[in-house]
Amino acid sequence: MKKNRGKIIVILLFIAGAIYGLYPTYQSTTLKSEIEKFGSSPKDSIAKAKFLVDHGEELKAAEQKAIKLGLDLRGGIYVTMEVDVLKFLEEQALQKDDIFTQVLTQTAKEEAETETPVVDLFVKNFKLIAATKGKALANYFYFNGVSDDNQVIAQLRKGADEAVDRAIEIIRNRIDQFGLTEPTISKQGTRRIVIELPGVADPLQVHQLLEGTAQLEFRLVKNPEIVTRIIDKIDRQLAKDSLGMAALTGDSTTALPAADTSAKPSALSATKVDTTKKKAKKSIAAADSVKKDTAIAATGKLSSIDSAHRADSLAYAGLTSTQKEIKFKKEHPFSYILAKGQQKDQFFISEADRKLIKQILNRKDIKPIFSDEVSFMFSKPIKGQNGTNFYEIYFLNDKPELTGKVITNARADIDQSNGRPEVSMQMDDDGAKDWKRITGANVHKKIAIVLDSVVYSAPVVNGQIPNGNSQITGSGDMAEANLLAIILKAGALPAPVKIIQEQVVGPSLGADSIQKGTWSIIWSFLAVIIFMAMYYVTGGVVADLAVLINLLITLAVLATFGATLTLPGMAGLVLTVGIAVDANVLIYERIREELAAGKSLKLAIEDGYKRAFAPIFDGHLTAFFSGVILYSFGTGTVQGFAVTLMVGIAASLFTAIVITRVIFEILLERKPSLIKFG
Amino acid sequence: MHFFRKTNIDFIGKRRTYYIVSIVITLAGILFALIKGVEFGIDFAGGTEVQLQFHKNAAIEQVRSALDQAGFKGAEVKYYGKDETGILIRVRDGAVGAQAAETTKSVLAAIYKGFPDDHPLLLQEQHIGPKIGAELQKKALLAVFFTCLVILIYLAFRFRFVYGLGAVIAIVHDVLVAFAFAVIFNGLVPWLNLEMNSTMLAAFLTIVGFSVNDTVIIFDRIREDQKKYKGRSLKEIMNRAINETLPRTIITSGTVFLTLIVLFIGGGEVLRGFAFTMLVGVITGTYSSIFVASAIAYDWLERGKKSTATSDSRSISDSSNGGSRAPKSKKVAATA
Repeated sequence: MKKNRGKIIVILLFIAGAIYGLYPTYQSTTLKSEIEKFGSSPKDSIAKAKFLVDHGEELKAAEQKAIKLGLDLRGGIYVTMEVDVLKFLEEQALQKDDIFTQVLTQTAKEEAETETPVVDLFVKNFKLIAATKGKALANYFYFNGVSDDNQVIAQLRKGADEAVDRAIEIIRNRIDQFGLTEPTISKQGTRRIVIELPGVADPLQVHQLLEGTAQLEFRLVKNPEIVTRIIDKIDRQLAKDSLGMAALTGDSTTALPAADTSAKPSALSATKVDTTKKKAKKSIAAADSVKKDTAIAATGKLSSIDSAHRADSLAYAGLTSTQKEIKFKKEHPFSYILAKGQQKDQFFISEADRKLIKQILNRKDIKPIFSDEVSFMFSKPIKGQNGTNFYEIYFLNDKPELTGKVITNARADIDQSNGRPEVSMQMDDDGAKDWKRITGANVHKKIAIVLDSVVYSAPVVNGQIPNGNSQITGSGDMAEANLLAIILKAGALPAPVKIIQEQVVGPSLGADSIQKGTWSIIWSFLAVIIFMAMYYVTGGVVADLAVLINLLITLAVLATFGATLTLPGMAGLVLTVGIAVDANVLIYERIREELAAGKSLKLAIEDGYKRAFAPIFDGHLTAFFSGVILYSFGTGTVQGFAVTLMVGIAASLFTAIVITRVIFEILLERKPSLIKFG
Repeated sequence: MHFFRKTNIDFIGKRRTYYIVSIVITLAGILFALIKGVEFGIDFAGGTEVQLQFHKNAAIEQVRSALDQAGFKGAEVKYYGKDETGILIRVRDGAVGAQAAETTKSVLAAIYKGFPDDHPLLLQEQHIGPKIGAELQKKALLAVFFTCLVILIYLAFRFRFVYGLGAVIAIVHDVLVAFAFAVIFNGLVPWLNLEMNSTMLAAFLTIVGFSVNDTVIIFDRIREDQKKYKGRSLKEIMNRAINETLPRTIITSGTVFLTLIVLFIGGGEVLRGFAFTMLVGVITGTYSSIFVASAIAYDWLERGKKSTATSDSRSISDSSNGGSRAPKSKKVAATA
């Protein structure tokens, strides 16, 4: 016992870790089945709403750590997109004469047959066809200060790579607006994008989302005074109809997270000197406290309304803080949802409230209040401290001042004078003329950069910009600046991406697969443990225990590392059950041999484990190799299979060798008569 | 419980018979594949695939005529699953993206029109561009190739090159046999879903893993017995090692077989082809580690001895005279 103490502790730690890793999965499954129990009667739907309010965050947190199911099990859409480099080249070209078209056609023909990068193919064909006619790449492509062919090629490659990033950002932006749950968007290789949308079943809708042309616009941000007036009007309208509002706000108590959400008012200046860098450090703590402490919340909320409400504030004298909050909520239902930022026209809302806000603003009685002059738009999601997202809400001019088509180039740089990131942007002649007028008329006002109705940045205009060359400062870091530069080019360069693969799994198929997969695991597990117990008696029972722990560890590893469980992955688990006992079979057969050779039980066990180790290790390692290769060559669901197989094989080394041996050694000390290998 | 008492089977001695069996099966499979052609799944072939669940039995001819009327001539229609309610429709029009979604829509419209009483459920649809299909085919071959290469290198390093070679030939044998069975049964028993797709690739590579596992365990025993019984002939040692590990080989293959049977019966349509191929693979993997891998290593080692009749080889054959067995003496004569 003593010499095994260390091992026992390690084993217990592993088991505890596995249970800890699987608990969120258990939690989310039970919560979901509770939710499904609610019927559709009005009474039930109230109970359901209450349950969601009580357990919503718990469920969300559990879901994040639970085993993720692949699209083949959940149902949904899986799309692979690829940058259409040919189209990109066509769009980049200054002129498209016959020679150029000939090169493109030839490249298009060859593209389907080889895997050579399209830019390389294009260059090869250009040399074959165009170069012989005295043309250089620089005749067709213009990059600032670049004339050498090799440099042009480098720029083209860079452009094609950037197109992927831009497409990813545009798609992410749209999917986010769509409010889809748990979408994943990832880059595969250099030119491909893989998008997984669980629970979506309408491909047409998705195509619009993925393939539509991006809209980049510049819109004026409304004056704070106008904003306050509009909010006030909405409050009054909603207060009239307080009953309807109560139902809406009932489940929207999720407040903004504690935040160093340093709003970043970016400054847009004509000169390179960074003048108005007001990096707001002030947090929006007022809103944060709503949930934790209503007392502070009420005052926080009060302070968040504009001075226009000062007269109202007097009416709150003599009320307890809770009463204050209730009264405020009743009289200013709209302001109640908004959290005030550090500047007076800055408002934030939580993820949960975003839908509510949209609902309110689209109401028939609310819309006319503002719709003739103002558009509401949200910022990109900002990560709060506790992981939940929130958004800044913008009140913008209904009409865009300028579209992004005029932008000819945008680049992220480090400002030499202060080392901070900035984005420089150039416009074409027409754009520059308009830009001069717009910036001249709106000095010290904010202009929002809007992509597909999402505000990416709302810098303040420092002065008139005469020639279209502008610097945008205030990006938090280089990555943010790069993103802005990529976005700015989206207006002029629609990222040419095309769908090359698509899979739509209906929800009923997924549910069916889950059921079948689960039962297969259970039945195969039962079949194997019964057989092992019959064939190897106590040895078999010990091995069964090891297999059970192996399954637990494998599932826990999948959950902890966010791996996805697919239907082939479930097949992998079934196989793992079969393989996991292999090591024990090897050991037990060896022990039987040693016993038959007349060795004592203790020595037979010792030698059995010792001698069986090498073949077990070799066998596991080679099987693991094939898993690794399957993972690197396979796609999607097959990778899920490879992962479960690899994890199962690795875990089996531990469970089948270490755990069973410790159990036998303890039994040898305490009750050797129990040990039988059949 | 014991299924086996000590066995003493002369596996190596009968190797030539098994070579012939293996060669016949693999060649038959390859021939069959060449004549009949391999049916590729949607992910390898590319195109649009729509999987429908009808409420009542649907006749393939009726589905096809409904599609013909809508202009989808030459569309592939087949049953999916055991009864006649699951229908798989494949159109290879090369459309992707928005265009392909239109294809699905028109296919559905045609079916709804042809079956006005049975509004079938759309279970799954897939669009694969032609480029992706070709790429996946190539990747699948590369995957099998690289697995063999890695295993060859590892085993050459762990044992000797010939053992690695024997194991790799056994692997290739297993994959070919499983492939042959898949191709042959795909025509005979359509509901097995045996067309070549990525799940099948997973099955083949898992077979590789299994087969090599079995082989390695026997090789390990050969190496151990070579140390333990110095002076015995290679044939004796190999036979002994195979016999000693036979219970383990059968039991492990048995438990895996058991789990696969469960998967085959209860795993659903998607996994049935996978389970079937794996079942074949487990049988041939067990067989090949005994009859192919060791036998090839044996033949190679013995041939090496014949050609280079050095003092080294003589010393082995000399000492093996002590254990004098009938087939042994024949070989000694040949060496001399």
